[in-house]
Amino acid sequence: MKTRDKLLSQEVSVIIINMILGIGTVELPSRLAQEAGPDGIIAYLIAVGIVVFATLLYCWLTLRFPKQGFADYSAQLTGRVIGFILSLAFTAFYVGVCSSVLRAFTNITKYFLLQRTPLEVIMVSMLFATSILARNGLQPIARSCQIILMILLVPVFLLPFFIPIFEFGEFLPLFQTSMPNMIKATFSALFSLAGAEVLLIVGSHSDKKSRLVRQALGGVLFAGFFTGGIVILSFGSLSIEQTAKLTEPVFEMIKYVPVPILLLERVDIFYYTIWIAATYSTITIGLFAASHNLAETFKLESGKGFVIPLAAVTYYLATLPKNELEVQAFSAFMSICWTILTFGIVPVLILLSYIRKKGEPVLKRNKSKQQAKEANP
Amino acid sequence: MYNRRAFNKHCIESEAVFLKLAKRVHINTKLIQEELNHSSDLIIHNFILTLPHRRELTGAMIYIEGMASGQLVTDAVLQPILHEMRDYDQPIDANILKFLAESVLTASEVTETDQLDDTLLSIMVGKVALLIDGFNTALTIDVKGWDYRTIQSPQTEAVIRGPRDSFIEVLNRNIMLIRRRLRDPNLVIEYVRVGERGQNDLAIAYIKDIAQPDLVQEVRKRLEKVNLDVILDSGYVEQIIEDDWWSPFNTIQDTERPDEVAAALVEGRVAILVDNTPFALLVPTTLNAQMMSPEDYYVRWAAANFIRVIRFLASFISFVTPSLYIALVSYHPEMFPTQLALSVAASREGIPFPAFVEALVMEISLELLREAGIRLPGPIGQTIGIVGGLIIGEAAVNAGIVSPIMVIVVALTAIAGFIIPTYNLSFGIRITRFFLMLAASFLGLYGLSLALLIVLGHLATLTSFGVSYLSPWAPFNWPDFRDSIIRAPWHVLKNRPSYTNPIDSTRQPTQKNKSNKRKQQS
Amino acid sequence: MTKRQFVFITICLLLLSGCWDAKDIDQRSFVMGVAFDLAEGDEEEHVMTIEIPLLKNFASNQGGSQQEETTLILSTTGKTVAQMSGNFESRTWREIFYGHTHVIIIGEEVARNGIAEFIDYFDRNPRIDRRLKLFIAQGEAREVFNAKNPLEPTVSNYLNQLLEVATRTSTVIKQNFQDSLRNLEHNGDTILPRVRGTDKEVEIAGGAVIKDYKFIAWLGENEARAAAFLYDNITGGSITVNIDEVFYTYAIRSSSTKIKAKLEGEQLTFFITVESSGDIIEIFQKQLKTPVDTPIEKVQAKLNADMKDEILHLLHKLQDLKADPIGFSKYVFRHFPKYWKEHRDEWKDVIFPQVKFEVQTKFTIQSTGILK
Repeated sequence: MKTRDKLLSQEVSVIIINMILGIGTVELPSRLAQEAGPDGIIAYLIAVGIVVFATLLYCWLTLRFPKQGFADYSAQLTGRVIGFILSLAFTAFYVGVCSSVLRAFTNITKYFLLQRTPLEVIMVSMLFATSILARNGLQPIARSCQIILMILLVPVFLLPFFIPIFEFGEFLPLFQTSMPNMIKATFSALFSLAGAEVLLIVGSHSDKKSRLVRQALGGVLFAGFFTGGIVILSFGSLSIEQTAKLTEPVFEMIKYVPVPILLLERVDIFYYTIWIAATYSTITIGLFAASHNLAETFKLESGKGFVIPLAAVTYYLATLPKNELEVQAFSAFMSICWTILTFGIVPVLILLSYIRKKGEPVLKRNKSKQQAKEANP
Repeated sequence: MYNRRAFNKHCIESEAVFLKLAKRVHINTKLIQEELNHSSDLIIHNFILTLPHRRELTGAMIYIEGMASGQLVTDAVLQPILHEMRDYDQPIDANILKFLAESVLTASEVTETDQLDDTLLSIMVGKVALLIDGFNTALTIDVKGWDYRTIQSPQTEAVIRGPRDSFIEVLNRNIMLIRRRLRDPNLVIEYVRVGERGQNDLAIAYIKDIAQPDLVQEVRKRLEKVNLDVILDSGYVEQIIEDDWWSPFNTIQDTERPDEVAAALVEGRVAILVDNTPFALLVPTTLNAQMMSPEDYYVRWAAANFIRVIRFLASFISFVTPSLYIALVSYHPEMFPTQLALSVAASREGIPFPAFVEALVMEISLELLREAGIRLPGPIGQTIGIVGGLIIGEAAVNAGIVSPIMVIVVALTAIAGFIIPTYNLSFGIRITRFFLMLAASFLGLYGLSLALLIVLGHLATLTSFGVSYLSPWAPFNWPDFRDSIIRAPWHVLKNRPSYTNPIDSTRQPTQKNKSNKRKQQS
Repeated sequence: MTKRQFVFITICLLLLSGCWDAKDIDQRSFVMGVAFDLAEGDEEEHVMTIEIPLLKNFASNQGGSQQEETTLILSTTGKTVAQMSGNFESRTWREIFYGHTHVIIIGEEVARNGIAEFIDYFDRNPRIDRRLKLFIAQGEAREVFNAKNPLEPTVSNYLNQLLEVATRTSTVIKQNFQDSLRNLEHNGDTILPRVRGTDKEVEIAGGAVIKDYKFIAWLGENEARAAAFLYDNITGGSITVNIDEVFYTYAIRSSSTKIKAKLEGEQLTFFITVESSGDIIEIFQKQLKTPVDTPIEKVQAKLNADMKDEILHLLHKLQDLKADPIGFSKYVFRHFPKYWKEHRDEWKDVIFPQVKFEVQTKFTIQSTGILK
């Protein structure tokens, strides 16, 4: 795994999509229903808008330093010491994200699939599987994510079967929720859409920088649509009250949809697999991002060696919360971190790059095209 | 060129002092006999030519019986010499050899050499060495002739529609089979000699204006690393030049079919043909390429797609079914439809083993049967297959060792596994299947999913000579994707698959090229 | 090397650990159906009855021979569902498993005290199939399991299938667990199908009105049909009308119901439109008339009138019972949120009995069979 691996531009969007779709997707409908009821959709759309804006910020920062990773330019912009601390913080952020996702995932898996298996075993197996892939580098991760994405799209075939049980009226009383609840709901939606910040780590590997923005936005919007679709389906087919009270409305929805087919009355087997794949890709990308960032911070060729130690740290953190409440507090804490990163650190870095006149201009492309045109009439 | 260095080393080790030929025939003969350890099939045919003006020329022909065709030796060497030299007026000097080589000998390839090791090597490969007394140069004449299997239908890759010839063990015949299909002057065949003791011939085949030069160079580079005594089969070469030797999945494709090789060459891939084996190697390869059978292209669109979809489905079923059975039966019985769940539960009444052991036992028995079926000759082999399947399975069920559902699962797995067109790939699946079963037995559906993801990750890591093994799905390449699970009709497949990065990517001639069409020749 | 050793050790650790959840399928007892009754003499205790299939007879695909050999009926008493379920665990060596439970039957007496107590345990269990069916039994719930029925090996299966194809008649409401919960959680009211077990067979007909999670009244077959119309849940069944002592039977092929609400001041009016199309499948009369066209308009008019009456009758009954199982409150909640906020607490007791209904029925007869 070299730090200068190449990444096809289309793979950037694939990685972003896989990072976003994971544990948040499954919990989102329930939280939205609980906090905002039918207005959850509106809160969600607002969150999508915010995430799009955030993605543009990431693209901006990445394009300012097209050949360098986060560790490099943060050191350049803020001096070696602060840059070092920032890098470490970023790594820690990713480790935290992985832990939080891992723990939430483990809780649910334990409850639905393997009631008596200890949490530790589930966590170690997942970390084992993800570490193998994370150690192999960016290219294999991108390729796996491509295939996992195709797998994630399989449920789309179930859409027609939702029509008989879908009730449009469920969305009706709009604009009824109070402001504080809306804000809470938007915030929840925001964290389940978080994931595009991997752009800061992998964006510099993309081979066609000019398409970066398009790819990143494409990824985020796709993930947004997908999650939004799930939320809408859940509201419509299970009713808002049911969605609010269930922990994992998506699974219930899948179990319940009247698929009049053949062998499998219960198509939920596939959906567990798909969901495990989505979480797997999220954790893999997270582990990779953390180890890669560390490698760049310490100017090493490859981050391979960091993966297992980071996985161990992830495991330890994931075992810390003792019960459901603490798990949720952990997730909430990670969302706050994400917000600080996105709306605090990234804009500051962008500003610094303009103030200290480091980095390449982002909008020069048009000019150079014009120059080229003038040169060759 | 042959491996002179190794041969010389051998000669030095055996303390050959003379590296060049002597002038006297009888010394040379004795030398050669010594070097070749007085092999009983070494034929030394001394002759005396009578030249005009009462001159005599002594000479000897040395060859190995069985490697050189005695008939050719007589017809192409001895007779012309005896005949033509009768009227040779010129003085006996160095020109005589030139005269012999150019005007007398009617055999195809004649070379002159004064090196002992060249001569020895030529004799070993089946040429005849012609020594003339008074000259320290030998003429080596190609009169190879030996017995070989006739061209038959392929043993491992049968098709219903399509050509039925397959490679045999003779390299130049195999090349002929390819050349007949690709009558393009740009088809390049490069000979390479590999193997210290075997001195086996290899041929690299590629089409110069389609295949990437980097690829060909990489192939040449890797072949240089082959450092074995003898190359008995292309498998030896494959295992040394492949990218990931430890993976159960093969990154080099092998085939017995010349039409498949020709198709691969046209796609910009490189073929490596090895003497003494009918299996040719194709690089680079992808998972998709190995799941395709040449028949997919010969049969019409609808039929081809039908078969392809079934093939992919079957591979997946073969891969996953036993583990799925274990996961559902032991961990998640609520996922069965109720009627099925009750049937399964009822059929497992009284079986003493847990589902995993049952599955393992059945799968291993199946592998045993399969291997046994290969070793046994003809009709017995087939009968054992049937006997094994039916009777042993039935007996096992009646004895209460396995449940009938398990037998069905295993049979389904086996049958679905046979659909995979390449034998090599089926090994990958057979081996990984056990891994999946293990994972499913520990953590149920979760374990199965994780195991599938690990396998996916592994496949994503594999590259074959620089090409991602999972092309065209990842990285996703829409033009190539149209030829993977479903094959687009011919008029849509205008470009060659891009994973080989061909120089000339248009498959079919455009208007421009039509004027260049060569006249038909048979 | 340390890397490889680490991997090796991890794999060994994973392998050396046990399989905590592995329990082969034949080591579980599949509970096909559950029934709840009151314990005799003790109002606080309940009786839970479960039906477990005896697996020996399921090996082949036949329906099983006699009833008593194919299922095992167990009963136990206790207070909460979890307690009673635990009691069963100590009576069979196989683990009680609710993954294939198809039917939950709640006895009449118990239902009068409330059904919510019995639903939570199943609602929380991730393994249950959400398409199971809830029934209210007339009489004792366990009688249902005693009924002998040679067609299906288990009564639960039979009941489940029966309700699945309830579309053949329209005299029973087809609802599964998820649907029922959906309605119940909205305002605590719903209509559940009624089942009655006799010695000979089980019978599903009519419905039971649940108000605030308690059973309050039965609905007859016609009333249940009217309710089915209101739920827009009808895909089959037949209606007979009587015109001058001649009985015309109309088979419903399709039907759709739309409900709209209008708020004028403080008066709510619901506009219900039922549209249906079907065929005449029988004319029950003394003689076969010579070719005379069936009086389609008259039949349609009579159908419209009859069904309108039935629906209104049902609605009034519900208003008298002060129950809103059809979920009219949903429409109010969605379309008039402010009004709902003000009046939600008194919806069932005060407002609902006073709403006005305007029912319009449009039945169309597509064909009259092959006769005119």
